[in-house]
Amino acid sequence: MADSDSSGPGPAAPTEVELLGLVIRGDREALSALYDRFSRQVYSLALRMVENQSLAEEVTQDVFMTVWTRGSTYRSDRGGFSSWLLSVAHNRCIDELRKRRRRAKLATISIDEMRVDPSTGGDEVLVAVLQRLDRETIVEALNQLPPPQKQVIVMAYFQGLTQSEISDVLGSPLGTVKTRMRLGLHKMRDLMAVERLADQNEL
Amino acid sequence: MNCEAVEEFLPAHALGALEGEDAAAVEKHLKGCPTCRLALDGHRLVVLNLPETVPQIDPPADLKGRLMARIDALSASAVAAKPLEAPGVARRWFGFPGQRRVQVLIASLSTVSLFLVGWAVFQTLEVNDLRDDNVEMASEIRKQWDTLAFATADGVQTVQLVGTEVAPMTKGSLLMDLEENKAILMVTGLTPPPKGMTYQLWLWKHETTPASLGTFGNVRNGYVMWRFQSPISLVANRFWGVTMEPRGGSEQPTGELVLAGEGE
Ligand SMILES: [Zn+2]
Repeated sequence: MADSDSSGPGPAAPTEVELLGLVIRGDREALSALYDRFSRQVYSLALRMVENQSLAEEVTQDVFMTVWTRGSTYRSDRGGFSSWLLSVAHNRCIDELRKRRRRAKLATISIDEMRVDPSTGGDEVLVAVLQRLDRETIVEALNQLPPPQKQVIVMAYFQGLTQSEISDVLGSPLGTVKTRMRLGLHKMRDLMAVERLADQNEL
Repeated sequence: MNCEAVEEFLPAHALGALEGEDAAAVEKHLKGCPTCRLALDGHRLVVLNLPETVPQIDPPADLKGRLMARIDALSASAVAAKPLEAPGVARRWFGFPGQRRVQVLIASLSTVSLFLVGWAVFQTLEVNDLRDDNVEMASEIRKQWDTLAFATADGVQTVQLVGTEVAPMTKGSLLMDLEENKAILMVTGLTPPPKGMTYQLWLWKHETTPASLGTFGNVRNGYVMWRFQSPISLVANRFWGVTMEPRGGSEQPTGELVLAGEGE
């Protein structure tokens, strides 16, 4: 009989899914615990996207309000809880950015601003091997793209720009933008897989 | 628009950068094309990871207090969502589950997309679940990639397993290679079994008694990825179930049904 048993690590802290279950039942402390675990990721993404501290704070609050009022819409089969949380944050930021763009003219972005910072923002002891590996792998994959490809991906994801908006901002033909985006994302996917395997083999 | 044309647009679609006619045409095609939906999931996985590239900065210390005040205000004004009913008392499990009302989704998701979702889940594992088993974890991730080739092969059947009333947050996917009798079970939102207990996967064919496909108890952060060689043929299957059993497994199910799924 196949058996992959191994007793788990003792009395562990509740998982995020367990905490979410409590939140759905109205448990305030469970929401507080989820905030402690994930507010840093949510806030960091929001700050990167809206580039405004008080707005990033507002977004972070709204994201956790969404967990409180609509946490039951999370589906575990669609991926991890933090991915869901970050996509809620991402959508909220995109709304903000589109609102803002309706008011203001698009500013040109230089490739310099596209630089991705691989630091984890301090000597965080809790950053375990796997997480650090993930972050490095992904940052490296993004940084290995030719700058023009990286640029259109960053503009689409972090600034919520469509292909034709990117074409306007950069003054590049729409076809060029489309090609860069396609090649860039394909390449990132391949790099992430390859680097990941290489990293595993070094362990 | 045909698959080849749609494929070109998928990275932009995953990034949310498509618009107008392109977006409408791609959306329309995706509705009827599992192959392209699968390819889209591959790109989505990359996009899902982009927040990892952002420098991590702590929010101001007082932000939490402001959030909790908002929540308390909401609760006080009684607008807050009503708590859900507690799950019903666990029912004993016996007999063939044919009449049981089980909400079952037959896989329209393709195997690779499930795989990529599984991979994404692994990436979001909590730091405190790692402890000393980083190496084991790493090898587990690698095994997932090894199995990718298997998962993309023809003759692979997928069944969605849905949590019963005792485990409403639990979801699973079972990928089966019908020719080689190999399978991979992925489950999310699963509570780790108590000490001395394990989960056991059962397959009903047309008989009233199920056959055991094996046990698995290695739940990390609610997530299980279990690869196994089935002791019996996986063809002509009808119904799958997961129960909790004493460690080592039982001859027949004795615990309550946690997950259930139905074949084609
Ligand atoms: Zn297609």
